[in-house]
Amino acid sequence: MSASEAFELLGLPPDADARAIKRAYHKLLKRHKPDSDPDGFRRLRDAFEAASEAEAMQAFAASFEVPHVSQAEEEPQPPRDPKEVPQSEVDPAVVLDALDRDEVQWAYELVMDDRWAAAMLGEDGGHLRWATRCVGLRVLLLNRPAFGLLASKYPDAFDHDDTEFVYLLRVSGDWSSLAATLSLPPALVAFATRMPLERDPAVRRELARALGAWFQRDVARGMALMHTIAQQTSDVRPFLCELASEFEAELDSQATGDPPANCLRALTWPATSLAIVALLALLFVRGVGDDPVWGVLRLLGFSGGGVLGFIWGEGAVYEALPSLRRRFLLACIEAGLEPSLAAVELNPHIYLRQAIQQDAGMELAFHVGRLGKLRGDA
Amino acid sequence: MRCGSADCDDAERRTAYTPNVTRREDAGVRIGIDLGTTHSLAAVLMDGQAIIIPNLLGERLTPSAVSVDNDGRTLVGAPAKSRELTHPGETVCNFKRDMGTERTWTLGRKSMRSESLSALVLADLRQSVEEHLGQRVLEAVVTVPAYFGEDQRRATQAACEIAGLHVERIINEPTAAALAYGFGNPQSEAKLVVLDLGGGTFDVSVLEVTDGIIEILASAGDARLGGEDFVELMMEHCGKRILETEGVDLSRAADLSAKLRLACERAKRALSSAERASVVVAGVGPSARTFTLEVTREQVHGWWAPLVSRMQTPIRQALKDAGWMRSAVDQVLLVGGATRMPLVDGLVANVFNKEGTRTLSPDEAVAVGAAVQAALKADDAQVEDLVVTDIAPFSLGVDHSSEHGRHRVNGMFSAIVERGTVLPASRSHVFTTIDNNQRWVEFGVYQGEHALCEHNTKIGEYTIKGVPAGPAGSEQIEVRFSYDLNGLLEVETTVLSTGKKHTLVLDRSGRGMTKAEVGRAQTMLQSLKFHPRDALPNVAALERAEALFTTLTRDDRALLGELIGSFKSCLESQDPALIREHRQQLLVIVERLQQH
Repeated sequence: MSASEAFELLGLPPDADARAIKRAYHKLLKRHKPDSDPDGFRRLRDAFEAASEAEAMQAFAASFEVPHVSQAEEEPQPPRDPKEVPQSEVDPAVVLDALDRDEVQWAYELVMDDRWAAAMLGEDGGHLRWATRCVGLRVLLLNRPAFGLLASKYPDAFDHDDTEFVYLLRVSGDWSSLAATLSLPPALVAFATRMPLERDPAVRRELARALGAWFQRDVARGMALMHTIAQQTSDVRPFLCELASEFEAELDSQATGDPPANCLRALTWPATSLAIVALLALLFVRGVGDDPVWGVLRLLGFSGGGVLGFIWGEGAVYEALPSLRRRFLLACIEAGLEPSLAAVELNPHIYLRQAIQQDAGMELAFHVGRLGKLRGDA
Repeated sequence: MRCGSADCDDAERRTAYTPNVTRREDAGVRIGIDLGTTHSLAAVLMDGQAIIIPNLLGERLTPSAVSVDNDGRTLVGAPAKSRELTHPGETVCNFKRDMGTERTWTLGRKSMRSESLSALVLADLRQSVEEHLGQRVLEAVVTVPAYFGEDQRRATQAACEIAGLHVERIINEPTAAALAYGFGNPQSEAKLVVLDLGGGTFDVSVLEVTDGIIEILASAGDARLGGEDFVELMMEHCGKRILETEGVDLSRAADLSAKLRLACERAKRALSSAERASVVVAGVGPSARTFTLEVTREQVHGWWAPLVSRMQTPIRQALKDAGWMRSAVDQVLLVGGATRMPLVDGLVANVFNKEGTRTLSPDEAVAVGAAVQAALKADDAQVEDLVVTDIAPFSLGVDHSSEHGRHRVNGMFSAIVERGTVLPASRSHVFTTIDNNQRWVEFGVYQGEHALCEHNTKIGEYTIKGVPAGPAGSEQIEVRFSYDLNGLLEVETTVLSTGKKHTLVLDRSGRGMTKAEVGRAQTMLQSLKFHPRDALPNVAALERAEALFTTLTRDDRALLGELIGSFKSCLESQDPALIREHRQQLLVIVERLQQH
């Protein structure tokens, strides 16, 4: 069901907010009960979901640095719908200059409309630079074909060292023609052109570094990136090794030399745990090795800090991968790590807080050590 | 009255189990049944009120227990529960935990599955309702734990069929509790979490109530976490102590183990209101010593800590599925008998930073909700202003293969109707061929949450033939799942290039026990012997007294032995008034002795 159909079925204007959508849904629910009118209810529910999603998308797009512009101004507004304006009559430069007040809103609307975007192609890339500055790359991505077009026409308008840029380019569609016109770092090219990653260790290292930065900025995107990378390589392990040692190196650089203190210090570095989460996710999805859990344990053995980080970031793991987490802990318990590690799992936040307060770092380190030994045995 | 005599004519025998009764009158009731691990009960909506139907013994809760007595007669409910202590070998409880499995129990000379045992309990409830209201049961809504998969729901439905109950709708227990809340608070507007800790299961539901509209947003549960597990953990600790101090190994003494279970159950209950309690077991070891262990609430809570932590898993899962922060929750409703334990308050305070609400009767809310659902289903005017939207408790999907570089991974699960989808729903997914000139596609239909199908439950399969030849990836096949509230799943596949359709309908009667097996189970249950209904109060009283007898010592034991003997001889008199008087006296004494 399209969004417009959905709004119509709910009897709402297309710009209705979430509250109005819910209210309309509730009102109609009493007429189309799931028990007595299953088909009517199904249509209503589909409409509710489609309308809610459309509303959420609008709200999401509006949340990117675009302040909400009050529409209640009495003075005449410039034409809001560019489709009404013959293209030849539009001088984007003039329009844009006249619109300082609402420039952000306008830039957003411009990039969202194919014809305006096409009109801007007639200019030097300045408008584009200006628009991206105002609304950010992500909003540009909402109009993917236009973005691809703009990016190939005005390579200078973007920061090529920005991983986010490359990632966006990649998902924007016709990458291969773009790759030729832009000069990008080799790792990013490899990534963006979907070259098998195992061919070049240097590329792998570079990507691993870039990913490290990613995880500190945006976990969800980092995870998505990891997943894409995993699909690009037939054997994900060398890459994960690379990535893990990257993290470990970073850990070492923060180390004080005292192992337990080092472990505890790792707790303050969220990137570790989050990256481990991502690694676990990958291993799980790909089913690396005969038994993914062993893969996980082996992987965790890379770094004691990683284990602690894993546990510390357990909240995130929990949210992301409950079933994996159970299997992981099962493996820990089978491996004789009970009861302390199991206790950690049962209530990690409380337990760790207590452990730190009671100076139980040594005990944790002991378990971490045993994990390391397990890895050796395996 | 001839209670206790060995013979029993056919008319009497049929009274307790009559699945094939066909009465002509149209008048009838629609009831809700909470088929619980430890207790079951039935409720009905009448004149806008929810009424719990008492069983023949006048009790609102019927223990989910089946036993066979020395005369070979089958006992259901309270008298059977009493025999768990005196005759553990001939008594079955907790069989709900094995619903949907092949496990059988031998009772007398019959071998029964969980379905048949449940059917006995259901038939007993049905009969109580029909006798109490003088009306036929037209239809029932039965509840199951949220984590129950298709197979277990199917088994539950088979149990209903065996019991001669017409059941189309099976709902989740926490959903039922939510319905009971919505029914009782039609004006409220709140975000709720229902925690249902029953005898054998723990369920969580997250829901929103707005002006008579109840929207279930998520549910989750733990299959093996209930009051019984708390008792078992307590038994384990006490058992260790008995081994240390008395040198008796409980795992080798079934009768002692049953006694300890009872003692632990009592202590658990006592600890809900008192700070300390004692576990007393008489007749331990060859010298029949009495074992006594003082336990404090704090100590027991220490033993139970792992269980409490396990309760957090489904809570978090359900909140996550609903997309709620813990702080968004307005009220935490507690239902299920085991939520009476004070440590549940601790958990609620810990997780939600609020106090749990106990406005609903913890033992009865689920049955009331089921009755509300039964009324809703029939479009009853009593629930005109109530709407409930429920969700798919698990994901349904198909298996597929995916390619990663040069590697092909088979048996990946692709969910089509995802867990949490509001039902009824219709969802589709497009798959492409994976080999060159692939002419047919084989799909397995699975239920579960795991990424790999082998860890999920297969509920059906089908093959699409006649796919046009072409390079890999050129042909697209749309798979549409339509899943309704009664568990009916319709799978429709369309080869997009040719428009050729193929439909597969999977309903709950397609799996588990076949029609013939259900029929055989019915016949088998009909051949069972029962006590005459009017003698049941005497049987129940006697069984209860005899159960208590085994736990007593010295003077108390002698006293009760005397009373049991005199009651038995009184039964011979066949004087109803005299028997009633004696029975009441006996029960008063039993009550008093039990409190000591």
